[in-house]
Amino acid sequence: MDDRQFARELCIDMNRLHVFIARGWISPLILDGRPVFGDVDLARAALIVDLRNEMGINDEGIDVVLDLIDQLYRLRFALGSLIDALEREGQGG
Amino acid sequence: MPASSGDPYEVLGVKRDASQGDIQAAYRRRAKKLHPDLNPGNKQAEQDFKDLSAAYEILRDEEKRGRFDRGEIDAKGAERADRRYYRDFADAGSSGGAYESGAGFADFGGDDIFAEFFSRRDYRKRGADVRYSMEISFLEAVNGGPRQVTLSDGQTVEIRIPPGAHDGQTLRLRGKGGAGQGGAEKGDILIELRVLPHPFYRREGDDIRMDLPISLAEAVLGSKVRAPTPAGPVMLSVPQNSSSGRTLRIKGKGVAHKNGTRGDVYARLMIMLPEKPDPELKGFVAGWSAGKSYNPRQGMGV
Repeated sequence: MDDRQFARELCIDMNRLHVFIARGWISPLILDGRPVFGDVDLARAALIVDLRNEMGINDEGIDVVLDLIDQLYRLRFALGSLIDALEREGQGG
Repeated sequence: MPASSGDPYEVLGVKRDASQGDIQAAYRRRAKKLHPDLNPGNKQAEQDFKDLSAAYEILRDEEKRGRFDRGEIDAKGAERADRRYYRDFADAGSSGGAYESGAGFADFGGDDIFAEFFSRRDYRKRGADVRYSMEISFLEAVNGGPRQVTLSDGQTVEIRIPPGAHDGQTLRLRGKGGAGQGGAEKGDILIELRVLPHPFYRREGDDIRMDLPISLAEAVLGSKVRAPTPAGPVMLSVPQNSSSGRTLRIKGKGVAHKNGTRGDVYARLMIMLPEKPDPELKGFVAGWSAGKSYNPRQGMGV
């Protein structure tokens, strides 16, 4: 989806969306100079909207939360693979 | 923990006479604890957060709160549609390269320590695919063409929309998706094409259909007219005495194929009278005696 659809889905204005991109919170694909967003971007942006509107976290706080969340999910992915590998090893042996 | 009791006061843990400030504070306190994306391992969080949001939706609004207090509505009415949370993507590894950070275990040797662990066990897991959808114009789909794509890491690659691309077709950027594990390859970026409609072309398989307006003079006398096609304008011979609805085939100017050939264009003639009534034409037709006896609806039994 393009930036207008994306902003509409999130109920945010274009200026706010530019903040999301400028701060590196959301990284859309750029197709011929125009941003294209996927479902993962929409889900991540919805979390950012929640952090701001529902939990009262300011933009500085969002930088920190997202950084920790990205580390957390990467660790979960690594740990999930680790368990998977150990389970397979157990079954194999 | 908010229970699914349906009583928004109970869900938020506030008294019935709580102020809006109390309600907001209670909601924020619980939302921070229960947001599914902040609780990736807690399956119950999604339902709890949904109940919490529904409860807050009622109590934050004085009118809805009043209607709930009077028993006119219940908490179920405020439930939002199911949504896809970020954790669903991130946990599947399909958040793509953009949002992955290995900093959380850089001090154990980062990815290398895992790479060694996995390679010793011969464990490989391909990275997840990341999906996008992209709108393209009707003619871009019919004719194909290149597009520049800049990925989140700043890398620019060219993708080719294949000639004759159809709505829902997916383009694949191999190895540009989520990271794999154990030295396995990365996932792909998949871009689903959404083809926008055209103001006058319609597509039927490899053929294009359109209505082609012609003047009365062109219809009666026959003429060579300029007609648009996806492959560029062509001169088209309109035979004399052509009625509206007559369909002419223009060979090889329709939807492009990969081998360089094209389907056909079918132009359905539509006779257009002058925009403003023309007294000369009116006088001429009024004096046209054969026209008075011709009944084009004869075949319809009237």
